[in-house]
Amino acid sequence: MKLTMKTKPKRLTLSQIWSLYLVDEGEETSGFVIKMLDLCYPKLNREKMDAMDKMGKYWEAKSSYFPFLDVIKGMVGNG
Amino acid sequence: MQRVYPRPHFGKFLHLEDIKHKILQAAKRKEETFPDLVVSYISAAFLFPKILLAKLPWDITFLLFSLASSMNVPKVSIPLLKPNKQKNEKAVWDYQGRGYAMYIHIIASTYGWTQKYIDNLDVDVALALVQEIITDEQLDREFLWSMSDKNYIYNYQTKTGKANPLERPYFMQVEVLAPKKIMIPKSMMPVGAGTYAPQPEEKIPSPADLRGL
Repeated sequence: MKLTMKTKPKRLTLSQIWSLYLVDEGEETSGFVIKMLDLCYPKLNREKMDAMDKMGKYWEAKSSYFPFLDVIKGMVGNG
Repeated sequence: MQRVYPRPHFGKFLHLEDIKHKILQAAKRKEETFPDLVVSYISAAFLFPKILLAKLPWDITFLLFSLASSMNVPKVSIPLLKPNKQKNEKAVWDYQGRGYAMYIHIIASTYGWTQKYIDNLDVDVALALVQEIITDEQLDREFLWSMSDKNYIYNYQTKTGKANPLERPYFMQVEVLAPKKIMIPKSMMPVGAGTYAPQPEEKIPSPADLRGL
C-alpha cells in the first residue's frame, strides 16, 4: 500500500502509546517526534520527506495522543 | 452488562484490587509494567486471553478497564473503605499479595470458614464482616486498656490527671467538622451604634510630594 499525505495515523496499542509516553518530556524533542512518526506511520519514509510534511504528519499523529494524556492525568490525579 | 460480566465475588475483588493498586503505582512512577498490568486486570476480570487484549487499540483497552473496574466496587458505603489520611509505611514483614491473605485470615480466624467459602462471599457482606471483626477486637482492647493504669496520665507537678484513651483505627475515629455558622437573633445584638475598630487611613499624596517624580 502506498503511503500518501492523506494516510491517517495508525491506532496504537497500549504498550506502543505507553512507550511513547515514557519518552515524552513535554517538549517536541527529536527522539519523541521520530518515535511518534515511526509508531503512527510505520510505512513512512522519513528520510525522503520534506521537514514541513514531516511536522504536519507529526501534529496529525499527536492529536490522537492528547486523549491518552488526559486519561493518564485523570488516573494519576485520582490515585 | 451484568450478563456479560457478573459482579465479582470477594476473592476476585481482592485480586483485582491488588492489580489496580499496582496499576496506579505504575502510572504514577511511569513504570514500563503499566500496559502489562492493565492487560492483566482486564484478562482477570473478563477471562479474555492476554495475547488478544495486547493487540487492541489503547482506547478500547481503557474502555474495557473502566468497565471492569466500575463493576468491581462495593455497592454499600462502608467506613472501612474510607481513604486513610495517615501514610501507611510498609511493614518489614510485608510481602506480595499480603492484602488477600490478611482479609482471608481475619474472616477465617473468626468464623472458621474455608478459603474457598470466603472467596465466594458477596463483596459487601465480606467487607461488612471484616469491619465488624475489627470493631469488636478494638472495643475489647479498649475495655482492657480502660482497666489498666495506662488509661489515665497523672501529672505530679500540677496534681491533675487526664484520660489517655486507646487510639482507634482511622475508620472508627470521629470526623472533625468545621464549626457551624449560627445566626444571632437581632434582640441579642448589642444596642446602639457601637464603636468600630480604627482603620488605617489612606494617605492621598499631595502635589508637592509628586513633584520630584
